[in-house]
Amino acid sequence: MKTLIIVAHDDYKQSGTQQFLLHQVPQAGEVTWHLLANDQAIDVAHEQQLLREHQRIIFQFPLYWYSVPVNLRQWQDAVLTKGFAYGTNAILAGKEFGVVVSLGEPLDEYQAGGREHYTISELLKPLQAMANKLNWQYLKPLVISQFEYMTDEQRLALVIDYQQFLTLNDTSFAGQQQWFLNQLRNRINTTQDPLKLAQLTTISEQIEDNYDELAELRWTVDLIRDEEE
Amino acid sequence: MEEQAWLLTTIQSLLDTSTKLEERAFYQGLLDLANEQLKRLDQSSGELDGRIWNPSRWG
Repeated sequence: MKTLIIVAHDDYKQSGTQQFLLHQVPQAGEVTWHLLANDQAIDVAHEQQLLREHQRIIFQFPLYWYSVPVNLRQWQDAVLTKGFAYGTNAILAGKEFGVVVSLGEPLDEYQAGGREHYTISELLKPLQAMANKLNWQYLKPLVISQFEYMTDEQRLALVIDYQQFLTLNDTSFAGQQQWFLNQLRNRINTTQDPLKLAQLTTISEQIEDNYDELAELRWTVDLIRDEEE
Repeated sequence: MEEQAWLLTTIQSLLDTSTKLEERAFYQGLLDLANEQLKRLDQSSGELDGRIWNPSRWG
Protein backbone atom coordinates (compact mmCIF):
# COMPACT_ATOMS: atom_id res chain seq x y z
CA MET A 1 0.00 0.00 0.00
CA LYS A 2 1.38 3.44 -0.95
CA THR A 3 0.65 6.43 1.23
CA LEU A 4 0.67 10.08 0.16
CA ILE A 5 1.04 12.73 2.88
CA ILE A 6 -0.14 16.12 1.66
CA VAL A 7 1.32 18.68 4.04
CA ALA A 8 -0.19 22.18 4.26
CA HIS A 9 1.40 24.76 6.51
CA ASP A 10 2.14 28.44 5.96
CA ASP A 11 5.59 28.15 7.56
CA TYR A 12 6.42 24.48 7.99
CA LYS A 13 10.16 25.07 8.56
CA GLN A 14 9.36 26.95 11.75
CA SER A 15 6.78 24.41 12.88
CA GLY A 16 8.10 22.07 15.57
CA THR A 17 5.26 19.64 14.91
CA GLN A 18 5.85 19.43 11.16
CA GLN A 19 9.62 19.09 11.50
CA PHE A 20 9.18 16.34 14.06
CA LEU A 21 6.72 14.44 11.85
CA LEU A 22 8.92 14.87 8.77
CA HIS A 23 11.78 13.07 10.54
CA GLN A 24 9.52 10.19 11.56
CA VAL A 25 8.28 9.29 8.08
CA PRO A 26 9.33 5.63 7.62
CA GLN A 27 12.21 5.32 5.16
CA ALA A 28 11.52 1.72 4.28
CA GLY A 29 7.79 2.08 3.63
CA GLU A 30 6.16 3.32 0.48
CA VAL A 31 5.36 6.75 1.82
CA THR A 32 5.51 9.99 -0.18
CA TRP A 33 5.85 13.25 1.75
CA HIS A 34 4.44 16.09 -0.33
CA LEU A 35 4.57 19.71 0.83
CA LEU A 36 2.10 22.11 -0.79
CA ALA A 37 3.81 25.32 -1.87
CA ASN A 38 2.34 28.54 -0.52
CA ASP A 39 3.01 30.91 -3.36
CA GLN A 40 3.17 28.87 -6.55
CA ALA A 41 0.51 27.87 -9.05
CA ILE A 42 -0.75 24.31 -8.52
CA ASP A 43 0.41 21.81 -11.14
CA VAL A 44 -2.94 20.05 -11.41
CA ALA A 45 -1.77 17.20 -13.66
CA HIS A 46 1.09 16.38 -11.28
CA GLU A 47 -1.15 16.48 -8.21
CA GLN A 48 -3.72 14.25 -9.87
CA GLN A 49 -1.01 11.80 -10.88
CA LEU A 50 0.14 11.61 -7.23
CA LEU A 51 -3.42 10.78 -6.17
CA ARG A 52 -3.65 8.05 -8.79
CA GLU A 53 -0.42 6.45 -7.61
CA HIS A 54 -1.32 6.21 -3.91
CA GLN A 55 -3.89 4.20 -2.03
CA ARG A 56 -3.97 6.04 1.30
CA ILE A 57 -4.22 9.83 1.13
CA ILE A 58 -3.36 11.93 4.21
CA PHE A 59 -4.08 15.62 4.79
CA GLN A 60 -1.62 16.93 7.38
CA PHE A 61 -2.14 20.45 8.67
CA PRO A 62 -2.60 22.75 11.67
CA LEU A 63 -6.24 23.68 12.36
CA TYR A 64 -6.67 27.33 11.34
CA TRP A 65 -9.96 28.93 12.32
CA TYR A 66 -11.46 25.45 12.58
CA SER A 67 -10.54 24.69 9.00
CA VAL A 68 -7.69 23.68 6.68
CA PRO A 69 -4.98 26.20 5.66
CA VAL A 70 -5.83 28.25 2.59
CA ASN A 71 -3.40 26.45 0.25
CA LEU A 72 -5.03 23.11 1.02
CA ARG A 73 -8.45 24.61 0.40
CA GLN A 74 -7.20 25.92 -2.99
CA TRP A 75 -5.70 22.51 -3.73
CA GLN A 76 -9.11 20.89 -3.17
CA ASP A 77 -10.74 23.28 -5.68
CA ALA A 78 -8.05 22.83 -8.30
CA VAL A 79 -7.31 19.10 -8.05
CA LEU A 80 -10.50 17.33 -6.98
CA THR A 81 -12.34 18.03 -10.19
CA LYS A 82 -15.57 16.58 -11.50
CA GLY A 83 -14.96 13.69 -13.87
CA PHE A 84 -11.64 12.93 -12.17
CA ALA A 85 -12.36 12.82 -8.45
CA TYR A 86 -16.15 12.47 -8.50
CA GLY A 87 -19.05 12.22 -10.93
CA THR A 88 -19.24 10.22 -14.14
CA ASN A 89 -15.95 8.56 -15.15
CA ALA A 90 -14.31 9.44 -11.84
CA ILE A 91 -11.35 7.20 -11.11
CA LEU A 92 -10.44 7.96 -7.50
CA ALA A 93 -13.05 5.92 -5.62
CA GLY A 94 -12.01 3.34 -3.04
CA LYS A 95 -9.04 5.12 -1.47
CA GLU A 96 -8.42 5.55 2.24
CA PHE A 97 -8.38 9.06 3.65
CA GLY A 98 -6.70 10.14 6.87
CA VAL A 99 -6.31 13.47 8.65
CA VAL A 100 -3.30 14.41 10.79
CA VAL A 101 -4.34 17.62 12.48
CA SER A 102 -2.40 19.67 15.02
CA LEU A 103 -4.02 21.93 17.60
CA GLY A 104 -2.76 24.86 19.63
CA GLU A 105 -5.31 24.26 22.38
CA PRO A 106 -5.64 21.24 24.67
CA LEU A 107 -7.73 18.47 23.12
CA ASP A 108 -10.13 18.32 26.07
CA GLU A 109 -11.29 21.87 25.32
CA TYR A 110 -12.80 20.51 22.11
CA GLN A 111 -16.05 19.23 23.59
CA ALA A 112 -19.37 20.61 24.75
CA GLY A 113 -18.65 22.79 27.76
CA GLY A 114 -14.98 23.21 26.81
CA ARG A 115 -13.51 26.52 25.60
CA GLU A 116 -13.70 25.44 21.96
CA HIS A 117 -17.16 23.95 22.47
CA TYR A 118 -17.19 21.65 19.42
CA THR A 119 -15.53 18.24 19.06
CA ILE A 120 -12.82 17.52 16.50
CA SER A 121 -15.23 15.13 14.78
CA GLU A 122 -17.72 17.97 14.36
CA LEU A 123 -15.10 20.43 13.13
CA LEU A 124 -13.68 17.96 10.58
CA LYS A 125 -17.12 17.23 9.10
CA PRO A 126 -16.34 19.07 5.81
CA LEU A 127 -13.42 16.69 5.21
CA GLN A 128 -15.55 13.72 6.14
CA ALA A 129 -18.15 14.95 3.63
CA MET A 130 -15.41 15.28 1.01
CA ALA A 131 -14.35 11.66 1.65
CA ASN A 132 -17.96 10.57 1.36
CA LYS A 133 -18.37 12.40 -1.95
CA LEU A 134 -15.22 10.81 -3.33
CA ASN A 135 -16.09 7.33 -2.01
CA TRP A 136 -13.00 7.31 0.16
CA GLN A 137 -12.90 5.42 3.44
CA TYR A 138 -12.51 7.96 6.26
CA LEU A 139 -9.94 6.81 8.85
CA LYS A 140 -9.96 7.77 12.51
CA PRO A 141 -7.99 11.07 12.55
CA LEU A 142 -4.65 11.44 14.30
CA VAL A 143 -4.98 14.53 16.51
CA ILE A 144 -1.82 16.17 17.88
CA SER A 145 -2.60 18.61 20.63
CA GLN A 146 -0.05 21.13 21.94
CA PHE A 147 3.03 19.37 20.61
CA GLU A 148 5.38 21.84 22.30
CA TYR A 149 4.13 20.80 25.75
CA MET A 150 4.39 17.06 25.13
CA THR A 151 6.62 15.03 27.43
CA ASP A 152 9.42 12.85 26.09
CA GLU A 153 7.24 9.79 26.70
CA GLN A 154 4.31 11.31 24.80
CA ARG A 155 6.58 12.14 21.86
CA LEU A 156 7.89 8.57 21.71
CA ALA A 157 4.30 7.33 21.60
CA LEU A 158 3.49 9.88 18.88
CA VAL A 159 6.28 8.50 16.66
CA ILE A 160 4.71 5.03 16.68
CA ASP A 161 1.14 6.37 16.37
CA TYR A 162 2.20 8.43 13.35
CA GLN A 163 4.13 5.63 11.65
CA GLN A 164 1.25 3.24 12.17
CA PHE A 165 -1.20 5.86 10.90
CA LEU A 166 0.79 5.98 7.67
CA THR A 167 1.40 2.28 7.17
CA LEU A 168 -0.84 0.08 9.33
CA ASN A 169 -3.62 -1.80 7.52
CA ASP A 170 -5.29 -3.57 10.41
CA THR A 171 -5.68 -1.54 13.62
CA SER A 172 -6.66 -4.55 15.77
CA PHE A 173 -4.16 -5.93 18.29
CA ALA A 174 -3.38 -8.75 15.84
CA GLY A 175 -2.57 -6.12 13.20
CA GLN A 176 -0.36 -4.23 15.65
CA GLN A 177 1.59 -7.36 16.51
CA GLN A 178 2.14 -8.07 12.80
CA TRP A 179 3.27 -4.47 12.27
CA PHE A 180 5.94 -4.77 14.98
CA LEU A 181 7.04 -8.17 13.64
CA ASN A 182 7.50 -6.57 10.21
CA GLN A 183 9.51 -3.75 11.73
CA LEU A 184 11.67 -6.28 13.58
CA ARG A 185 12.31 -8.16 10.33
CA ASN A 186 13.43 -4.91 8.65
CA ARG A 187 15.82 -4.21 11.53
CA ILE A 188 17.18 -7.75 11.51
CA ASN A 189 17.93 -7.38 7.79
CA THR A 190 19.85 -4.15 8.27
CA THR A 191 21.68 -4.70 11.57
CA GLN A 192 25.45 -5.31 11.33
CA ASP A 193 26.19 -5.72 15.03
CA PRO A 194 26.17 -9.50 15.77
CA LEU A 195 25.03 -9.13 19.41
CA LYS A 196 22.15 -6.87 18.45
CA LEU A 197 21.24 -9.16 15.59
CA ALA A 198 21.01 -12.11 17.99
CA GLN A 199 18.92 -10.11 20.45
CA LEU A 200 16.52 -8.86 17.75
CA THR A 201 16.15 -12.36 16.31
CA THR A 202 15.28 -13.90 19.67
CA ILE A 203 12.91 -11.01 20.51
CA SER A 204 11.17 -11.49 17.18
CA GLU A 205 10.81 -15.24 17.78
CA GLN A 206 9.40 -14.71 21.28
CA ILE A 207 6.92 -12.04 20.10
CA GLU A 208 5.81 -14.40 17.35
CA ASP A 209 5.46 -17.34 19.80
CA ASN A 210 3.31 -15.12 22.04
CA TYR A 211 1.23 -14.08 19.04
CA ASP A 212 0.60 -17.73 18.09
CA GLU A 213 -0.13 -18.79 21.66
CA LEU A 214 -2.54 -15.90 22.13
CA ALA A 215 -4.38 -16.74 18.90
CA GLU A 216 -4.65 -20.40 19.92
CA LEU A 217 -5.90 -19.54 23.42
CA ARG A 218 -8.51 -17.16 22.04
CA TRP A 219 -9.64 -19.81 19.58
CA THR A 220 -10.08 -22.39 22.36
CA VAL A 221 -11.85 -19.96 24.70
CA ASP A 222 -14.23 -18.90 21.91
CA LEU A 223 -14.95 -22.54 21.12
CA ILE A 224 -15.87 -23.36 24.74
CA ARG A 225 -17.87 -20.14 25.04
CA ASP A 226 -19.87 -20.98 21.90
CA GLU A 227 -20.60 -24.47 23.27
CA GLU A 228 -21.85 -23.03 26.54
CA GLU A 229 -24.12 -20.42 24.98
CA MET B 1 8.04 -17.64 32.27
CA GLU B 2 11.80 -17.17 32.16
CA GLU B 3 11.72 -16.43 28.45
CA GLN B 4 9.11 -13.69 28.98
CA ALA B 5 11.25 -12.04 31.65
CA TRP B 6 14.19 -12.24 29.26
CA LEU B 7 12.06 -10.65 26.52
CA LEU B 8 11.12 -7.63 28.65
CA THR B 9 14.63 -7.18 30.05
CA THR B 10 16.24 -7.35 26.62
CA ILE B 11 13.86 -4.84 25.04
CA GLN B 12 14.38 -2.56 28.04
CA SER B 13 18.17 -2.75 27.65
CA LEU B 14 17.92 -1.92 23.93
CA LEU B 15 15.68 1.02 24.88
CA ASP B 16 18.16 2.22 27.52
CA THR B 17 21.14 2.06 25.17
CA SER B 18 19.44 3.73 22.20
CA THR B 19 20.08 7.41 21.66
CA LYS B 20 18.12 8.15 18.48
CA LEU B 21 14.53 9.22 19.06
CA GLU B 22 13.17 6.90 16.37
CA GLU B 23 14.97 3.91 17.94
CA ARG B 24 13.78 4.74 21.45
CA ALA B 25 10.23 5.15 20.16
CA PHE B 26 10.39 1.75 18.48
CA TYR B 27 11.69 -0.08 21.57
CA GLN B 28 9.24 1.72 23.86
CA GLY B 29 6.39 0.69 21.52
CA LEU B 30 7.73 -2.87 21.38
CA LEU B 31 7.96 -3.02 25.17
CA ASP B 32 4.36 -1.81 25.49
CA LEU B 33 3.30 -4.43 22.93
CA ALA B 34 5.12 -7.26 24.76
CA ASN B 35 3.51 -6.22 28.07
CA GLU B 36 0.10 -6.17 26.40
CA GLN B 37 0.74 -9.66 25.00
CA LEU B 38 1.61 -10.97 28.47
CA LYS B 39 -1.47 -9.35 30.00
CA ARG B 40 -3.73 -10.89 27.35
CA LEU B 41 -2.04 -14.30 27.65
CA ASP B 42 -2.63 -14.18 31.39
CA GLN B 43 -6.29 -13.08 30.99
CA SER B 44 -7.04 -15.64 28.28
CA SER B 45 -5.49 -18.57 30.15
CA GLY B 46 -7.40 -17.44 33.27
CA GLU B 47 -10.62 -17.39 31.29
CA LEU B 48 -9.87 -20.82 29.85
CA ASP B 49 -9.26 -22.26 33.35
CA GLY B 50 -12.50 -20.69 34.57
CA ARG B 51 -14.54 -22.12 31.73
CA ILE B 52 -13.02 -25.61 32.01
CA TRP B 53 -13.67 -25.56 35.80
CA ASN B 54 -17.41 -25.71 35.40
CA PRO B 55 -19.22 -27.68 38.20
CA SER B 56 -22.58 -27.50 36.41
CA ARG B 57 -21.18 -29.87 33.79
CA TRP B 58 -19.97 -32.46 36.30
CA GLY B 59 -23.17 -34.48 35.73
